[in-house]
Amino acid sequence: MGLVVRASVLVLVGGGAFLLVALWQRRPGPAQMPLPAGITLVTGPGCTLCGPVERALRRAGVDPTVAEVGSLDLPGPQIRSLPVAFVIDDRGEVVMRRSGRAALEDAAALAACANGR
Amino acid sequence: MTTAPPIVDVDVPRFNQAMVAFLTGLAFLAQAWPIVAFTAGVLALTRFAGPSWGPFTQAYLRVIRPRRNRPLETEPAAPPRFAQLLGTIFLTVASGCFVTDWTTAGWVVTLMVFALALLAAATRICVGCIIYEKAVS
Repeated sequence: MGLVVRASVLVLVGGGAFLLVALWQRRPGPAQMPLPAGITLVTGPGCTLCGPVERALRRAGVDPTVAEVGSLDLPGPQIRSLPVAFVIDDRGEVVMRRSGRAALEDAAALAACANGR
Repeated sequence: MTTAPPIVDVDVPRFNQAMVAFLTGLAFLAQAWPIVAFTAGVLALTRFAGPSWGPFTQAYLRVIRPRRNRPLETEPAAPPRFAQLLGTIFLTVASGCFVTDWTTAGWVVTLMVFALALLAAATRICVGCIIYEKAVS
């Protein structure tokens, strides 16, 4: 086997590994679900407020659907992390998007609106 | 023998992987299987005697890192150490194939290590580390 053939084999093997990884990285994820009825608390990586906001909503009498951001069929670019807590309605409109402790007060206010108070 | 630290500079495994890719690629081009055996030996020494005995690790720490002007970025050491163990095993098997005259099998295994080491060095996608993390979780 000549040097040129061996060099070609090296290029093919190295390029093949890159190609396989590229195909793997671009594989389709799980099917995304449509937005559920009512309001949905969107959770995901980095959402430290999601637990407290969910509890605040439930305490205030609202029973949100809790869904992971990657599993929802949301418009716009794909969201990979959630440094803020946000709640959406069944049209995909964001009804609350807050960070810090204000999220808990807003959750209570949102629950009052949802309950028609 | 020294104890391996729990974290490692992210560029240490990458430099090791780049050296493994370079040496295995060179071995294949030159059809010089002793280079494969040498690489297996270096990996084994680093893995079992500790990073302070690793020629590639020491070359990076003494020659390259002092010349790099950027903050130190670290990662857990266990996944790359496991990947290094896999590399050692595969290159040892390849060397065994060459010694027993299974030359084609030896080159197939060597080229697998070349491809994975190249991938890890160029993209940080370390298949051995992924296997380790899957096994742990």
